[in-house]
Amino acid sequence: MVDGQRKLSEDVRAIYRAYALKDRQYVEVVELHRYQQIIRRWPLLAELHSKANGASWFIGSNSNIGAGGE
Amino acid sequence: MKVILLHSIGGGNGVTTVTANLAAALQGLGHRCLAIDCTPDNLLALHFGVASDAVDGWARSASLSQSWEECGFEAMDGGRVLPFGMLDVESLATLRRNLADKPKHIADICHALSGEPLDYLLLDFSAPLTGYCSAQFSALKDLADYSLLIARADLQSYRLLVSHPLGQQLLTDCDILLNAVKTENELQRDLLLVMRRELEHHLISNIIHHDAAVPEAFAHLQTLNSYAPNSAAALDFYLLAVWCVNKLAKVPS
Repeated sequence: MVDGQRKLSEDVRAIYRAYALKDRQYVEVVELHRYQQIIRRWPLLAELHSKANGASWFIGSNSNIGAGGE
Repeated sequence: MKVILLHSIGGGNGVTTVTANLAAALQGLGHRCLAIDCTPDNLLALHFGVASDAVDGWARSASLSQSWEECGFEAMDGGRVLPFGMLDVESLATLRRNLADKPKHIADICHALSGEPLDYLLLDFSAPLTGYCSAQFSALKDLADYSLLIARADLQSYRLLVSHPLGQQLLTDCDILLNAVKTENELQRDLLLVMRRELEHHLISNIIHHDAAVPEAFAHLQTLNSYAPNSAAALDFYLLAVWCVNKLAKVPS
């Protein structure tokens, strides 16, 4: 905190930009990152999750599924 | 009298085990409980020490067009159980026919029990949509003060809850309890986190940990509260009972 305003380092700001989460707390970003890692880790979970959500914003393509993710 | 409906999407999630041990935990807290077995496998009564060759139960009585009033049993701890009864395939078909024009038969039993000195009525309805009569389940869901869906922290439950129409239907007006969770297992730990995030409006914070004492208690025809009161799962059921009491405290009897 400098002069009452939040100052973010460039690396944290980059994470916020990557997740498009300007108003989230850092701990939420960490949790979201962990959540996404878990989804990638288990191929069936990734498939069910992407179908349930109708979106594939965190699963790049089928070739990523089961590729280890991390 | 508060009515708690326990159910699941498919078999094998431990609904009967949770019903018996939650009833025993509530009984241990000083609440008078009756558990009704709504499932044809007729296993609930065994948790309460009823002999495995006992055949009486409300459904057996219904299939014979008899009264269910004399079919209850009382356990050592004072908890009571109304078994389903032993039915063969033919008798089950007769039951279906007899209940076809009585979709509220079990609900009517619950209403008849409202005059009894009971604090909690627990209904074990293991697999309502694949079971013998979904109409009975609908009536019970309307009647119940609280519905709790029992699931596992596995991908079978995840699929049914998140991406299957049956799960979406059952999730209406009910909470989810994860049963037999192995927190030392990486997949289950991961699924616990995912389900907590995606089902946060349904998933209660209590879980029942996997514990060898649970099947051992059943093998001794006892509830955990009697067989292994200091086990980890017994503590889970105690905490679940406290949670249910608090949850239902504001519901008028």
